[in-house]
Amino acid sequence: MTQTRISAVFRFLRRRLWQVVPVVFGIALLNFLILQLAPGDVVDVLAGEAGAATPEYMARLRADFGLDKPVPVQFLHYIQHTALLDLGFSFRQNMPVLQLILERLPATLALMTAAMGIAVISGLILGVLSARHVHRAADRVISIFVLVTYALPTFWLGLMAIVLFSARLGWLPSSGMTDISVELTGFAYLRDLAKHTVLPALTLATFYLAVYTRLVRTAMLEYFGADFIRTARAKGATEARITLFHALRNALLPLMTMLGLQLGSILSGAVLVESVFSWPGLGRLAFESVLARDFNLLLGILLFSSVMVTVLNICVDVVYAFLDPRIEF
Amino acid sequence: MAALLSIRGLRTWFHTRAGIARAVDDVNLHLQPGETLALAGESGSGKSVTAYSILRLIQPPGRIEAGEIMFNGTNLLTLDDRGIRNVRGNRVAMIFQEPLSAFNPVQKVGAQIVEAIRLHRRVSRRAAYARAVELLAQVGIPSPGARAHEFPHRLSGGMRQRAMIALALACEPDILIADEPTTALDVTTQAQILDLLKSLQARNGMGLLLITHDLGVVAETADRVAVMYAGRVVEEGPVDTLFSRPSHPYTAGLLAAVAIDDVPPGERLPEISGMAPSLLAMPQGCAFAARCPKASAAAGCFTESPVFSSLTLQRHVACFAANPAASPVTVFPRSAMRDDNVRVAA
Amino acid sequence: MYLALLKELLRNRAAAAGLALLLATLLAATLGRFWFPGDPWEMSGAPMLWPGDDAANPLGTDLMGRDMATGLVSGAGVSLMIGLVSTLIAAGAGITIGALGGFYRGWTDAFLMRVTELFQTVPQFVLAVVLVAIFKPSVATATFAIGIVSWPPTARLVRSEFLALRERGFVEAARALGMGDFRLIVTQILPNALPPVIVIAALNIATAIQTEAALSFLGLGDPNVMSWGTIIGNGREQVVDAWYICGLPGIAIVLVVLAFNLLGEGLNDALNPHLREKET
Repeated sequence: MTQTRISAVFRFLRRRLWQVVPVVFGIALLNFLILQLAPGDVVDVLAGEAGAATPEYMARLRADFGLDKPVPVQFLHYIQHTALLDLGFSFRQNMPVLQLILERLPATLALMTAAMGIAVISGLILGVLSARHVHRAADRVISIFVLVTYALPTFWLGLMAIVLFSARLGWLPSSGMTDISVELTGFAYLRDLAKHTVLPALTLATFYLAVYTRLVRTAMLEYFGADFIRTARAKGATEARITLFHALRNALLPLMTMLGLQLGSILSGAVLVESVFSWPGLGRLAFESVLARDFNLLLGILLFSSVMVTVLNICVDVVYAFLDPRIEF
Repeated sequence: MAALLSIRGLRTWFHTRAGIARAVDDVNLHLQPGETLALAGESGSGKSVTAYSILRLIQPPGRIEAGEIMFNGTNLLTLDDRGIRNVRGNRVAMIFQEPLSAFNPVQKVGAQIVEAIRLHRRVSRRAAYARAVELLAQVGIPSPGARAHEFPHRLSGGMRQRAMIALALACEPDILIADEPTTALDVTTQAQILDLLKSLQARNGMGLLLITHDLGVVAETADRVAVMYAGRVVEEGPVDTLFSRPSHPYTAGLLAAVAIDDVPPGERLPEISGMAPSLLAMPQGCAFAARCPKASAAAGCFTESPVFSSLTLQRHVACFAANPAASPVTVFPRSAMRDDNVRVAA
Repeated sequence: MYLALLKELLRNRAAAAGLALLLATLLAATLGRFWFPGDPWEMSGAPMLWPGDDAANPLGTDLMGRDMATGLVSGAGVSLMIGLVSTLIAAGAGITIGALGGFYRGWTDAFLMRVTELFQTVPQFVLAVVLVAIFKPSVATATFAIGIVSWPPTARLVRSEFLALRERGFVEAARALGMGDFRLIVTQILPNALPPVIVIAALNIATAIQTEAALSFLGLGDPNVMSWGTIIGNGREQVVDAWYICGLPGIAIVLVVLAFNLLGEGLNDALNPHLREKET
């Protein structure tokens, strides 16, 4: 990697980060539309069920939204606040929305990372196995596994995993991120964290694992017929080397594309998995805000998660460009 | 002189859903050290499949059904996997039609040559890299050190094909198989690449098997030519005599069709009427009979397959109607055959 | 043409299996009502009866003693209905937006594609949760919300089909005859762009059914309608002691989703015959 390419990456990042702006604007507009269309006035909606919020809070909200002013002015107010990442205040949790979100963010990112790691690695392994043994027993078994996995609802899979692995077998904990009954540090803490991560990460990973397996299989089969694979064979390379070094290396490209496209869906999956496993992340927070009818918080989560998807997408694009030298920054 | 490579009775068939396609059916060829043999024919005639069969690069549903490919006293078709890998890229190397897609897009050019070297030679990465740069210089690539560091898509078409040749020469092979090496290039670059191949061959003394549909390339580059039609070699011999006096009506037709430049404007191009038979459903008798102006039931053209046999010491043909003394004029009707065209093409 | 397509589907083993599963679900949703005519919310036996414990409740009862079989039959109808209608909404929106963008190109297309991208960036399920929560959970809001979050893939597909088709000879010919834009879009281009849309729609029904179940599971289902997700959501507190309460509706979801996925793939094979040639 040359120096010029690295500085090109930074230029690319600077340029791409501007893309967050229209996303913020778009989601803010969407949120505003939802609030306008919802039954009752904005403050009624945001304050949740009548009587739940204090009069001071209601007054503050009315001031924030400029409800006495015409709708376009209200929208300007809303945009102004949103642009400064002022997502308002959660009355229920008695904390600024942004602070609540940032507190829960690391847990969600950790869960997503673990799940994606599992999905990508197992998807690669199963996809390669399937392609190497195409139309033979191993391929057929994997294909059926993929078909069934596609149809499994994530939340249901999580519940069944709890029944089997936590309740019946007692292997793994079923809820939370760490064992809160004991104070652990260092290695023991990490071990505890890992144990708590296994079930939620596997549950979230399952669907994507199926998607990637299929994708890698298709890509590998296509590459096996490619000219450069024929060249590698004509050089005298072994089949193993051709598979892993030439075909698989190139199959990473469609895999990254798919990963980028699915970031939003992965975050959606995390919401469900977190609520099943009481994982203290953004999804759990969204679930809590639904139960508490804390819509200001819920809308904040929607906005923030969309921005997060955009930023992660840019990261995926950078990784892609490093994997594919044909991409110019 | 013992042949460097000799192919006997090669059959490579493709087992498709629609049936068995006999892409290569009983092909016999031989190549001497330092010689250039051109394998010519239309697309689908089996010339590329023959070339890929030599290194056993045929992928399913294709399969080599029968035959013998002797190289240096061993039959390549009976070698085990390790044995054939030892030949590939080492003793027999290949270059391909489309140099862009023939390179791994995500690996640097130098690294791909290094891989070719280190698959067969126990040398350090550094030494292999130095050798790769040297090879790039040898094939006439300017500033080879910098080019080795580029990804394939950054090179021009001609440079890519030169790099491909460098890759093929990595282990100084005894035989170079070139599959339509100039088809994807513009005319000027074509000539340069052919010149390069000739000069490299003169220096290394390797045998060159040139697969091409371009009779101009054949005339310019090859010592001998074998013409393929529908999976079989129909005629074979030294380029000069074969081009000036083709024996097989198909060869004669091809040569007539080549001289497009010399057809006066407004006049129809000479071409062989009809289509090549489907490889899935080969007719009885000679595969060319249906299109052949000389075919006759009396000679058995429609009922029996003509045997590939000697015409003279150096020339072989598979045709009942072929006559060694026949001039082009008598082989083909005057209207479709112009002897001056043939000379231009040659 | 439809008969030929059906024949093609029945020849494809996977698609035939999908059709069979789908037919079974349809029968359960319709004839099942006569078998288990009760109100799915009514107590009909002792709570937490396991399947097979009591002939009156063949699939057992839930935490409140409600009959599982009656609930499952009710859920089949809800799933199919919401899956179909929300897919129709998504297809309608996707076709309209994709057709306008692909046909008019220029800034119309640029604007519509930005909107599409925005909807693809938003985590779809989170948006569905927001919509349903704010507009009050009901069958209508769930259907609408699922439709709203699932149109972008259809729009992109239709757009690219339109971009390709609008250059074709028959479109030029129709235009030369003086055909207006609307008729050109609806009668000339759209019919040719539809086959892949049908495939996406079949797969979309599967996703929609999963989304509906997930919403109900989170407590965002219609409080008056018993759906599979509702049963799972209600049973989750006791999932360790009575896993069948969550298990049975989950299996039902898997089967229906599998059916639509198989059907979608079968349709894909049948409508794109050239893809089959590539696989030897």
